Amino acid sequence: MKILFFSTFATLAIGLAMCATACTEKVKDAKSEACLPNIYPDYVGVEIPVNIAPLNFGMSDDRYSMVDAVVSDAEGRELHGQGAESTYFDIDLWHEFLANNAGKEIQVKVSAKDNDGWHSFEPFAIYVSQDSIDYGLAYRLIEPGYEVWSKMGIYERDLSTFDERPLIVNTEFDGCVNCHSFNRANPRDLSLHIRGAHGATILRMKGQMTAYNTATSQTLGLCVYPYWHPSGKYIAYSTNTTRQVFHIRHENRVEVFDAASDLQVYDIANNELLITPLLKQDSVYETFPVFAADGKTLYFCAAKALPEGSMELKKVHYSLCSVSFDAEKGDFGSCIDTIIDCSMCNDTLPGSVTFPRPSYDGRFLVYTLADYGQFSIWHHEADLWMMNLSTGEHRPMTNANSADTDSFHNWSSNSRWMVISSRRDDGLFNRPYFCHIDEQGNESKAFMLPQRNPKRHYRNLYMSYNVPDFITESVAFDNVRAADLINQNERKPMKVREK
Amino acid sequence: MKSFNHNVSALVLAVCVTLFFALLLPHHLHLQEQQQLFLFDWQYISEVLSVPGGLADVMGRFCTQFFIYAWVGAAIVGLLIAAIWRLMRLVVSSFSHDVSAWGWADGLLLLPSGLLMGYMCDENALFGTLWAIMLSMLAIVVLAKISNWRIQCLIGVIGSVAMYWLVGPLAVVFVVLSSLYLVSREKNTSVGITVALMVVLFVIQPMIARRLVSIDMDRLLYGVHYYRILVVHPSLPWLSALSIICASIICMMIKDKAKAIIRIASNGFAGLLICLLIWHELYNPKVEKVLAYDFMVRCHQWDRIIDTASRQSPNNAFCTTVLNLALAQKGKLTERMFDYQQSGIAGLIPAFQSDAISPMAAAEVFYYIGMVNSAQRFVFEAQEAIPDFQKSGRCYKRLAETNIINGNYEVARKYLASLQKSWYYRQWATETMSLLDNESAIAKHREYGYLRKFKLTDDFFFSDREIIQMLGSLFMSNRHNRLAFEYLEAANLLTCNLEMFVQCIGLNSDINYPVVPTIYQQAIMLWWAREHNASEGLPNGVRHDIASQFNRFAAAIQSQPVNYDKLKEQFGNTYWYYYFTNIQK
Repeated sequence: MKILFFSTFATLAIGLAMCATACTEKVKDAKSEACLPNIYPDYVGVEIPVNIAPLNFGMSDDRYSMVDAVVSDAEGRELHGQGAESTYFDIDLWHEFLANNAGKEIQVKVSAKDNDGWHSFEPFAIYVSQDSIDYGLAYRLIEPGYEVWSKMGIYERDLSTFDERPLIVNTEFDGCVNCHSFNRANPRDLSLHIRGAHGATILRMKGQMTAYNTATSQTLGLCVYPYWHPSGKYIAYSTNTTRQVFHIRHENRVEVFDAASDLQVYDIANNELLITPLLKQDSVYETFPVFAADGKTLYFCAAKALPEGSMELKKVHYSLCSVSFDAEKGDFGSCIDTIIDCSMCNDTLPGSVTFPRPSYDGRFLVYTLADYGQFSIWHHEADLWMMNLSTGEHRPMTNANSADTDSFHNWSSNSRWMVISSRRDDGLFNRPYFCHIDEQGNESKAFMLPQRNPKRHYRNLYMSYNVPDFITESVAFDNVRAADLINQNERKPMKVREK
Repeated sequence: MKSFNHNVSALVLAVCVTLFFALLLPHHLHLQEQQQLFLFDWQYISEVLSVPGGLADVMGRFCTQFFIYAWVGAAIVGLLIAAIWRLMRLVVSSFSHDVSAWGWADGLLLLPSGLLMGYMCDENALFGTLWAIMLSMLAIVVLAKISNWRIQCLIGVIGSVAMYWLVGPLAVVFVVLSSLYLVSREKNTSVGITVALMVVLFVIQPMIARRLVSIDMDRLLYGVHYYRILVVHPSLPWLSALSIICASIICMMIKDKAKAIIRIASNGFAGLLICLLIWHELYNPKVEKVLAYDFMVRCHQWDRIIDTASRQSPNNAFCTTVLNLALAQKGKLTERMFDYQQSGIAGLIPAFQSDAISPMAAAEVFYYIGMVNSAQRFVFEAQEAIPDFQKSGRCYKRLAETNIINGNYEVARKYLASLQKSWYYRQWATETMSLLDNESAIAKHREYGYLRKFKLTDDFFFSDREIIQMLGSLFMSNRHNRLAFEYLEAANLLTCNLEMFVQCIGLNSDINYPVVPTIYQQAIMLWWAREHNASEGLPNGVRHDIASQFNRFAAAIQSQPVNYDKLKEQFGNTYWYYYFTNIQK
C-alpha cells in the first residue's frame, strides 16, 4: 500500500516537478563566489557508478531558498536540475547523461539563491566510473538505540532509482529482525535472524523458506553473524553470549561485547552444524567468520577471553585469524594462522580488528579497526582498513574514511564498489556511503546513498541503515509466507557434527 | 423542536463527559499526548494514511496533540462522544421515520457513546477509534440523504472498500447498516446483488491489505491502530459497533408508539448502566495517580508534587522517585525525606524497566543530578518502548536537551527540526535551535550551562547495582553539585549504610549547609550511638533536641514488646524509624 501510495504521490510530484520545470527560475545576476559550494550530501569530487540514481543535493545552509545545478560534459551536453530544497534531475535524462560520460569527468556548476539574490560557486568535478554497481542495496532500518527495540525492518533499495521496498517489518510479527545475509550479493540465497518471542533463523534456498532453531545443546546458543560459502553449500556462523553496557560519560554510548563466543559452519545439505575444538576455545572469543573468495579459508576475529565477570573491555583486542576449510569434506584445518595480530595492543597502542570482508575477486580484505572490542559500530574512532591479500600489506582507507564511525561494510558482486555504514553525518545515525575500489585497490572519496530529496529524507529519518549489503537483483521476498513461518513457531532443529 | 431538544441533550452529554475526563482522568489525557507526536508534515501524515484506518488515525492523532491541555482534551472527547450520540439518532432516523415509536429502545442509542466513553478510560485506547465509529456513522447518514437508490448502491459499493481503508475494520458499521438500509428501501435483485458485492468486497479487504502493507493479519482484522498495544484487541470498540447495529435494527422493528416518559426512563436506565460499568470496571484511579506524578514531574511542578504527597503519601517506587526529586529540587530532601513512606533505593533511582512510563521518572532524576548520558538512555528507551512505535514530544524535547548538553548539535538539530513541525513544541524548538553551536549561550543557559558543569570527569559503565559508587563519582566530579551529594547520602541512608554515609558527609565542604540538615543529624546520632555511650557527649552538629528525641526512640524500641503503632506515630518521620524497620526486615 505504501508503495502504491508513494507511487501516486511520486507521480503527482513528478507532475508538479514537470510543471515546475516549465516555470524554472532562471539564474540571473548571480554573484560569483570564489569557493566550492557547501552542499548536502557532499558530492564534490566523488566517483560514481554509471548506473547510480540522480545525485540530487541541496545547500547545507538553510538560508538558501533555491538551488540550481548545471551538469556538463566535455562534449558540451548539459543537464539541469533545480529545486527549493534540493536539485531535481530527470531520472531518464540523468542515466542517459551518465551513460554518455562513462569513464569521464563531468562538471557541476551550482548556484543558490538567498535573500541577497543568486550566488554562483566554483564548479566541481564528479568522475563517472565505467564500473557499474549492483542492482540494489538491502539493509535493516533500526533506531540507534540501546536495549529496547521499536519498529524495524529489512528493506531493499534500487540503486538506479529511488524505489525502496520493505522485505519484512516487525509490524508483521512480535519480535526483532536482524542479520540478513546473501551469498555474494545473490539474494536468492538468504539467511535471516528473528529474535524475541518468535525467534528463528530463516533460510531461503532455491525459493524454499525454512525456519530453524539454531540453538543446540552442544553449542553456546543461537547462530549469529552469518556468511555464505561461495558454493552456497555452507554458512559460517558465530554463536555469541552477547552483553551490553552503557558508558556513563564517554561519547561511545554503548559497548556491546561477548562474554563467550565460538564459530561453527552450517552444512545445508546435511542439516548439520560443523564444530571443531579449534574454533570453540573457552580462552578465546572467536567471532565474525567469513569465507575467502575461493572458499578454502575461513577468516575470523579472535581475542583472548577476559576472566569471567571482568569488565575490562578495553583489554579485549581482536586479531584477524584464519583456518583452512575443505568444502568437499566439510572439514577444518588443524591450525589457526594469525593474519593481523592485535594481541599485544593496549591503551597506548590501541587496535582491534572487526568485520573482515574479503573481496569476491580474492584480492583484498577490508576490515574495521577500532581501539578495542568487537562492536565497532558504536566506536567513533572506528575506521576502515584494507589489506592486500597477495602482499599482506594493509593501510587505512583514508579517502573513504571520515572523522566519525566508519564501520560495517560490504563488497559489490564485481568487487569494484564498497558500501560503508558511517556515522559521519551527525555522529549517531548510520548512513550508507559508497566508494570505488580500482584495480590497484585505491579507494575513492565516499558518497552518500542518493535520495529524491536527500536533505529532507535524511533529516526526517530517525533510523540507521544497519548491515547494508549489495543485491544483484530484487530479493523477491514473500513477507507473508515468512511472517506465517515466524508466527507458527515450528522450528527445524539443527544437528551437530564435531570435527 | 425535537432537533433542538436533541442538540441540547447532546450538549449536556458533552459537558458531562468533559467534566468526567477533566476532573477524574486529566492525566490519562496528558499521557495520550505524551505518547505521540503529531507533525504537520506530509511524509508523516502520508505514512499514517497509507494503512487501513489511516484517516481515522490521522484525525485521532491530530486531536490528541491538544490533550496536553487536559480541559481542551476533555472537551474534544466530550464533543466527539456527544456527536456520536447525535449521529446515532440520525442513523436510526434514517431507518425509522417515526422517532416517537422507539420508546423503550431509546436508551439503546446511548450505548455506543457510553461504551466509547468507557473505552477512553483506558490509557492505551486511541482516540482514532472514536473517529472511526463517527466517520462510519456519518457515511451512513450521507448515504441515506441521497434520494436516488442507484447512486446509493454505487456509493455503498465504493464505500465498503473506501471506508475500510479510511477508518479500518470498524467500517463494518457502515457496511452492515448501509446494506440493511438499501434492502429495506428497495427490494429488488439489483439491490440484493449490490449488498452481496458490498459484503464480499469488505470481507476481502484485509486479505488485499495483507499483500499491500507490512502489517499482520490480526491487526488488519481487528484494527491497525485502535489500541496502543498492537497485539491486544479490546472488545469495547466492537461492542460499541455492535450496539450501533443492534440498536438500529431494534428501532427499525419497533412499530408501537410509546410515551415520552418511557423514553426518558429508558435513557436514564441506560445512563445508569453505563455509569456503573465505567465506575466499577473501567475507571482506574490508581493508574491516574501514577500518571499525575508523571505529569507533575514533566512540568516541574515541584510544590504540587510535595502537596500531593503530603495529602496521601505515595506507596510505589515511581511516585516516591518523583517526590524525592521534588524534595531535592526544593532543598527539602535532607529535611523531609522521611516524612513520607520511602521505597528503598528503588524510590530514589529506580532500576530500568522496559516500558514507556517508568523510565521517565529515573530519567528526570539522572538529568537533574547531572548524569546526562543515563538520562538520555532512559528517555530514549522509554520512547522506544511506546508499544505502537509512535514518537513522543516530551522525549524528543529531552533528547534534544541532552544532546545539546553533550555538544552533539547535529543530533539535537534533528530532534528540534521535528519538534518545529509540531503544534505545541514549535516555539520552544525554534528558540532552542538558536543555541546550537553557540557555546557561550549554552554556557550561560540556566539549565544546560549548569548541567554541563556537573558532567562526570571519569567514564565507567552504568550499573543498577552500583548506584552509590556512581553517585560518588558524580559528586567527586564537581563538589558543588548539591543534588548529587544529597542523592549520594540519600542512597546511603536508604540502604542503611551508615559508615558510608558518615564517610561521605565530610566531603560536602563546598556545598555550605548553614546547619547540618535534620535527617543528617538523625543519621549521625544513630551512627554515634552505635559506637559511643551517652556519657561521651554528642557528635558535632547534632542539636540537643535531636539527641533527646533519639533517646526517647531508643527507649521505645528497647521496651518489650515494641508498640509499632505508637513508634510510627511518634517517630515515623525520622530516619531512625526507617532504619529500625528496614534492619528488622
